[in-house]
Amino acid sequence: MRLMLGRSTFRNPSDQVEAEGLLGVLARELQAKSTLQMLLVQRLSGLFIEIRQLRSAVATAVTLQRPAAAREIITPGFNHFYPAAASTTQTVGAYETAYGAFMSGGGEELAKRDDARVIAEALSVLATNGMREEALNEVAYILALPTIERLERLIATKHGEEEALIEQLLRMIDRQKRIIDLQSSKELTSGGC
Amino acid sequence: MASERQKAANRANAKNSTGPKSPDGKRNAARNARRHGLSGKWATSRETLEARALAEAFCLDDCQLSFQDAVAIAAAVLRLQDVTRIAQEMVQFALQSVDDGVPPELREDLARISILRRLGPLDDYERRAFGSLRKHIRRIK
Repeated sequence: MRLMLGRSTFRNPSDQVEAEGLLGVLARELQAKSTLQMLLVQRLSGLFIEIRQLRSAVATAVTLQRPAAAREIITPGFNHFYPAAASTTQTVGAYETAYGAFMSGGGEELAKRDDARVIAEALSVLATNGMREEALNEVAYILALPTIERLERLIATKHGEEEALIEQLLRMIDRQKRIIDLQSSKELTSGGC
Repeated sequence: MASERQKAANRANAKNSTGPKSPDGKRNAARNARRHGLSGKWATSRETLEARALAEAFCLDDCQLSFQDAVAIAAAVLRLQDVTRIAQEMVQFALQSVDDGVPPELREDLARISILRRLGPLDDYERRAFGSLRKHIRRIK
């Protein structure tokens, strides 16, 4: 299916091919005929790809937090204390004391330890405590929440747009059918006379 | 603290570098602060021209559509396409900074996550353009 305006929206070739394939299917399913309808269908197919890309980024955001989640499971409070290592001058009072105790208790060593090894250790800690492996992903999800929140905001915009576009397209197609029906009934009436 | 001699030297040196002189250089420097180009004058004037051409095609298909609404719909559709294209280009550009050690299947996602802060303003443009599209499409009787 040829793209309207001859523009390719996606720089990734596989996404572009998928968008064009979707455009063909949607145009057929929604019976889009006019230039405007085709452009709206093209937008809709692009939205499907964009939403999929953002969903994939959400999954990756969680995956990226797995090592941090594993460190948190091995040493609760790790992610609370460790980022402060870069700005120890800002830590005061009780926090500084707790931070010092945490670091001397192996916090720094844990930060340097290999990610795969830390994940294996965390999974073994979970198993020892009778918890499922998914708990690691759940902690990773919590740690990734600031990123996920931003991604979900973008997804929400695109979902809203997607729903509204489908609604508008169906309305336009319904209107088109009514016009055709009206025209054919008029022809029938005049033919009958 | 700089001495009088150093200050004089700084002033003299500064006179040698007062920005681009050639038309090409000036054109390049004019784009220095450009982020996505969606709010620039050239973008809106180009959109207007393209929108009018597209609107004529809409009106040929649908005689009940007013030309004013058709132009607004076309402008919104073009703006939405631009927003998506720019967002995709930003991700492709960010891919260059992704560490080589990252698995291929995660690279694009990581690039997208790294520019999330810059994708936010594009989302605002998208919402506005879609709002306009919806408003004018609803007017079609």
